[in-house]
Amino acid sequence: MATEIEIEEVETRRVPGRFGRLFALVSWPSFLVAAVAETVFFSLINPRELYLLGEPVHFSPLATYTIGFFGFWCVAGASSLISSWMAEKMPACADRCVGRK
Amino acid sequence: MIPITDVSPDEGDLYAARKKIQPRSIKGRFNNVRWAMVWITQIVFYGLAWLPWNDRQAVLFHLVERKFYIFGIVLWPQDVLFLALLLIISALGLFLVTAVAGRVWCGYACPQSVYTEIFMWIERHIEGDRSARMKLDAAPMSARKLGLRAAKFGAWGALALWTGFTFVGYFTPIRELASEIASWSLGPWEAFWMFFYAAFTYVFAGHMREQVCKYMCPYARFQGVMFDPDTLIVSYDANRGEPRGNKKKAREGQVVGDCVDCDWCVQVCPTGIDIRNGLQYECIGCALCIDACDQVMDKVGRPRGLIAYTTERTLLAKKPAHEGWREVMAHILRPRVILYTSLLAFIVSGFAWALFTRTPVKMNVLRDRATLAREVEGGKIENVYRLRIMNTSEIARRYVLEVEGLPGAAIADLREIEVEAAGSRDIAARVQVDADALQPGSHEIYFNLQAVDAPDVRVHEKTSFLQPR
Repeated sequence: MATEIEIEEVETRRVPGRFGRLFALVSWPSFLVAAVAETVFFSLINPRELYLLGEPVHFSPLATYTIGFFGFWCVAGASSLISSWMAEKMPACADRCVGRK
Repeated sequence: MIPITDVSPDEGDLYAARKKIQPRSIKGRFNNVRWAMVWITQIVFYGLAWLPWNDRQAVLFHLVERKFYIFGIVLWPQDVLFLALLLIISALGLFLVTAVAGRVWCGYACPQSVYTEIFMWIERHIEGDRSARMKLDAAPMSARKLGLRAAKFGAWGALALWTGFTFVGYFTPIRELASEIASWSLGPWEAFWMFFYAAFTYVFAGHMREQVCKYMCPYARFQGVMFDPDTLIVSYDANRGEPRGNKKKAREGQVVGDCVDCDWCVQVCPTGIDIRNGLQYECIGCALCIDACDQVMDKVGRPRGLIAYTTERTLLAKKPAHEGWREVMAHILRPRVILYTSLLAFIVSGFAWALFTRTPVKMNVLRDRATLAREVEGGKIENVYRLRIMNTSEIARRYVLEVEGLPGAAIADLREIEVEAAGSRDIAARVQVDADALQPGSHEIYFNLQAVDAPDVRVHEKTSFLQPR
């Protein structure tokens, strides 16, 4: 038994623009790395035993964890940003390079 | 070989406006499995936070107290080894599953897939099916469109906030959190994380969806190295399907494959790819195209399995997928799988052994640097130590403290120390040794802590005793 099935042209790909791609490539891996760094750092170090400019940290532990997380994210993000910028500026490679036109 | 066609967009397309994917919804075996996984994972996620255990939350990673409660187990920062082992076990488990069954994690269990599915369900029930949504997207702004959009974003927002609340509820007690919200006294940091995680869920599951998998997920990029010719993949049987086309319209004598080119496999795909172009890294292995194609094959009266879970080896053998299951199963025990399984079994048993044989008491010993060694009555030298005793069991316990290793060493004012369940206590211990018995300098000394009620609950810690010159 054959049934007529409607055919419809579809455009299925959506591709982020340059800044969208850069944002995704930089923010997400650094987020993951920051999460790992945060877990390892604060498993080993108690936020109540930290010193800031020679003074014991007086923030609440949750504040310290939060600041720590965003600190790690910024550092990892800066590194990702430089890497992606350098990768983009890499000299055009010869034929043996795979995946480049 | 699996046919590979370069379908990467032209460079110009990279700067093109984004096109929204509006997948068609489909019923079928694999869709049922996907929904079963949504229910299981979300009942666990939203429900577990509320489960009580011994008068506290069963699963709580209490950040402020720095203690992890997992049912009957209380982990302290000193148990970070278990956390590391748990991460290794998760990674190995993922390797094993990927080697055997391909991207089942992505298709069925990844929070990105699960929340996207839930958000799409909401979208479908508010804005209608695929064609209705495409029309709505194209339509100019009207009161109706505004209303539908507001309802959708509102429902998404509510679910995202509940998700954010639950997430924070795993790190700070959820019942306290709920009462703080009810009394409008939520702490600023809890509030921040609740909204942060809610926004995260909303943006990822509502707007970014497949782009997260395609452009952001590291696992999507490297899972290819875990694949081998015997890994299960969702694949189109080109031998059987091609040349594709409408059978009714085919000319007399023209050979037409089983693929009727209905495009359903493309329309249902949450990442918007055409599986008939071969294995692509964008494919999250959700198998919805299998459900779609099976329905179409049923309608046109051809056997199912034109798109199916199969392996590269089966495809190369040119066997139809539904006959290839024996082939798939015959290669399931291969060196890679055996290696991952034995490694996993080894680490899991080590983990379990370490967890169940660990002593439920810990002691940190620090010599008090503020009080130097001093002479006390009776010609004795005294050192003061700061001890932190951590009772990691679920019952309150009393302990006896002793010193050994030096002749005549004793603790002044010795008494039993009581520590509450899953609690810790800091004490100062004054250790006295006969002055004549020791040479000046540093000497090893040991603290023994012994639970009164259980002979095997004991710890032995080394420290040093200072004899002044």
